[in-house]
Amino acid sequence: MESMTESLPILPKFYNPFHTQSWEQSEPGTAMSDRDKGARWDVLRNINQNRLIDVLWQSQLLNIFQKSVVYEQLSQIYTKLLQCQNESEDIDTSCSIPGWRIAEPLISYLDEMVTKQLVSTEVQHTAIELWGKLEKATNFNLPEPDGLPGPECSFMLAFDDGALHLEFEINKRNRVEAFFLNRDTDEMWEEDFEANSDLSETLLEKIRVFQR
Amino acid sequence: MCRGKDGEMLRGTAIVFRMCYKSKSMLNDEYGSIGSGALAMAFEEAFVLSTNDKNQYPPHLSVYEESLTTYIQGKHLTGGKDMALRLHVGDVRRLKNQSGHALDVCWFLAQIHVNGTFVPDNRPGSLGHCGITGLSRPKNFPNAHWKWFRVKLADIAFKMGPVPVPE
Repeated sequence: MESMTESLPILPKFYNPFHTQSWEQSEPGTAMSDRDKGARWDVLRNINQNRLIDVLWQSQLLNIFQKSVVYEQLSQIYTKLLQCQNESEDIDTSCSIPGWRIAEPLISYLDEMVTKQLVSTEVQHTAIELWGKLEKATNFNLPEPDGLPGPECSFMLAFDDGALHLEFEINKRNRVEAFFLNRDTDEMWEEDFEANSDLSETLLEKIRVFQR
Repeated sequence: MCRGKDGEMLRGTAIVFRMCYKSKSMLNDEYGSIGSGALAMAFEEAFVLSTNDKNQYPPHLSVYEESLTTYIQGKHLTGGKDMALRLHVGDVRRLKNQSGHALDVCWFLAQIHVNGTFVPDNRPGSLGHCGITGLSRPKNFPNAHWKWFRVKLADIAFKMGPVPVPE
């Protein structure tokens, strides 16, 4: 992995994620203001920084085969970061390597939902932070969850294998309601927690059953 | 089908639909093929009551009876939601949660929120408007038992086959 990283160009400077500001939603139907655009870019930088940290963290742990996969992901994220830093009008997720696309459907979906003002940026932040944590807790072996916007700009992430169902409902910044259902036994479990706190052992047990 | 009076129950054979947006998996053609056979199951979020739904009397989740409202009308009535989740009324009534509560589907006049008040919605297709009652959790009952309802409604909709609604 070291030889791979040595060949990477110098990483761009990141914005301090703690300086990322939330902003009020624009009125429906109005054009996105420069302030909103700027704030959106900040969000993207923050998202990519968090993803990059996750990938780098992961690269210390996995075997060579997995490292090559991680490196591929890192390259894609790095490309996206550069595009974000160039502040082009649209986010072009294509990669210089033919046939490659940024494999981040959840993040793209969330971004689209925010653009359509169906999900608040605060909920978006929380969903992405949570998804990163869940991925990390499962050594990046989780299938991508399904996602759907709900009332009042909320969002739900859900894992489901037909018998087991685990959902995360996010209604406001940093607050998550988890709910698990085993359809075969009707066993239910729920927990409310803060996205920036450690995941409970019970939650980790529940999420690990969905590992690939 | 003829529309019943406000608050009157729908026939058990009726089919209603709830409009929602395409989920992430539907939008990305991952439907039914995520990871190790996982299904696209964030649909239960479509069965969460909004603040407006909770403030109705009785609280109910808006759905449309499919012989009186087309999917395209449903899309226009709900501000562009492009997925119809179909529910057999009999299946909805058969659900009973661990607290012994059940759901019902009744006719309710379609209303829209204008300048802080609800006024009758006379747009095309609003005739089929009805509502699922029983989704509002009474105080002191476990929240999980009402989340169970949402998953079960999503299961019914999944089994019936969600319908993407074109422009």
